[in-house]
Amino acid sequence: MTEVDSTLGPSQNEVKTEENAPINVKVVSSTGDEVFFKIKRNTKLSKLQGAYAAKVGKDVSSIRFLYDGNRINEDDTPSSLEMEDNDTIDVMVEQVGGWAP
Amino acid sequence: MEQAALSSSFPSDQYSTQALLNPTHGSCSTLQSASMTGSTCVSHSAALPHRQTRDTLLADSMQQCRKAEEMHNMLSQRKNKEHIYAWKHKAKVREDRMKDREAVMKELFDLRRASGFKSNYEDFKSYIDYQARLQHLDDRDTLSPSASLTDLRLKEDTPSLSHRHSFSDYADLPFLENAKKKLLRTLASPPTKPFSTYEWLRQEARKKDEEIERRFRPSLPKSLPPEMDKQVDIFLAKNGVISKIAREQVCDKDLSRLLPSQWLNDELINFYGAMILERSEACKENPGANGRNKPLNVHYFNTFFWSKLQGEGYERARLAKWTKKFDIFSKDVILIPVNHNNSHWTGAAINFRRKRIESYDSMNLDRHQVFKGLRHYLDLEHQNKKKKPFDFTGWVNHCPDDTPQQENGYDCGVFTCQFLEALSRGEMFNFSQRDMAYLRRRMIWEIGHAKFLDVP
Repeated sequence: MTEVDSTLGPSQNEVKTEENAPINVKVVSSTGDEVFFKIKRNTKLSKLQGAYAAKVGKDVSSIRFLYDGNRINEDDTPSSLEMEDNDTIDVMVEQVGGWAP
Repeated sequence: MEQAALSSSFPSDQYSTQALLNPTHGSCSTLQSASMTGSTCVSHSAALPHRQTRDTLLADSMQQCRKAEEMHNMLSQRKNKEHIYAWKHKAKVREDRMKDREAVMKELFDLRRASGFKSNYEDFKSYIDYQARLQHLDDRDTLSPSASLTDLRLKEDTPSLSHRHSFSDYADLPFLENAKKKLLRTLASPPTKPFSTYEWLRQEARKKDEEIERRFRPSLPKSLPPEMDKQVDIFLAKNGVISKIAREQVCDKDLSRLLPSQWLNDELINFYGAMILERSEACKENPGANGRNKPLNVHYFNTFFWSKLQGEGYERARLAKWTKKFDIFSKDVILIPVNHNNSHWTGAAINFRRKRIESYDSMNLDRHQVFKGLRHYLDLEHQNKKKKPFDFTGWVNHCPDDTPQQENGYDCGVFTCQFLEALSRGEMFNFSQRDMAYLRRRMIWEIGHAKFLDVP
């Protein structure tokens, strides 16, 4: 289990309110490896995705982030997804099926 | 047979040729060491040795030493070095094996052609290779981790192109012989007789129903209308993100997988699933305003649902949270694409209307894992949301024999999308292998426009 406590910076034109307090998010791969992030509620999750991809050495486009089964999009933020403190994000990799000659 | 005899006779003459062709290299050192041992030995045996006896003794022991050395070298070389004709022999064996394999493959192809297989020989070969590979994966371990379970920090482990070619190793001669035997047995056996008159009448009635249904249901066209076909080419020429719906999106890289003989990935299947879901939801709010007739109230779980359920289980995968915003028990049908070992797609469904757990596999393999897994899920989900076990009274596992079958090694994803689409309307499947080229083009159009093509 790896533990990285990185606070991801705020995005531009962001209002400083109490609602924007940082929350802890756990990113879990299917092998059970966990990486922890601290992220402000109004910060785009794409930052977290980029940081995670860099950490595991993968291209962002090759991995999929799911929150409660839903794909996380570029513009999503913890508050838009109604995430709570200590919530979990699942990481999946591309799936294929068939055999191409 | 012939090869076996050839290879068994091989080691014996290998020995003799080896001895001839490979003289010992260590003869000089042998001489030295022999002379040394000889002299010490002689000095021990007699205080004042006669010169002649000493020389003969020396020569004798030297010869013995050399012989032993030779034997030793020969033995060790026999182990390490191949016979000079070994590669030729091996190549011949390989060639013969390929020939035999090809012959049985051809035979099998002719048999299958005679009993309904419509695609060409190349497709047939890819179909057989694919079948062998899937069986191999199933045999190896039914619970093998899919790629979603691999450690992301490990090196890139997606199979390379050359790796994919090695799949054909699975369809070896015994596999083909076995397949032939099985097929001949099926062809020779008489059709199964109905158990009772009642059953026979029911069968007949169903056949008639299906016949009527078939006549009313127009078969799929061969190709898209020209202007739509042009749009498809435009979509294919685009770069970057091509289309978006709900939370899903498809890029050029993904879309090109809908070109002929490519395998589909999760992005395409989830995009199609999102379209199915959106159509179903639009219909709920605005009944009657839809293209293809009367979609059911469905839910589509994305391709990761099954991986999570199978890989981690209901609790650890936190699947209860996937349904926090809706109640699956209020739906008509739950649609689930299933990825097997990262090499095969099948469609599954929980049909609340007909009380069935359904599995649709275009390779018709044993899918009891799907039934087991989904029953397990239903029970735990019911306990989680309704606080009591799920009542399975009247529920059956449904895996129909007449599920459309693929005739190659790459169309499973398209079949799966079409299974799910038809299921979401409660319709029978009206497509087969020969429609795949058209359906691939149509899916590009549909995904590009993020809406289904209205077909009567």
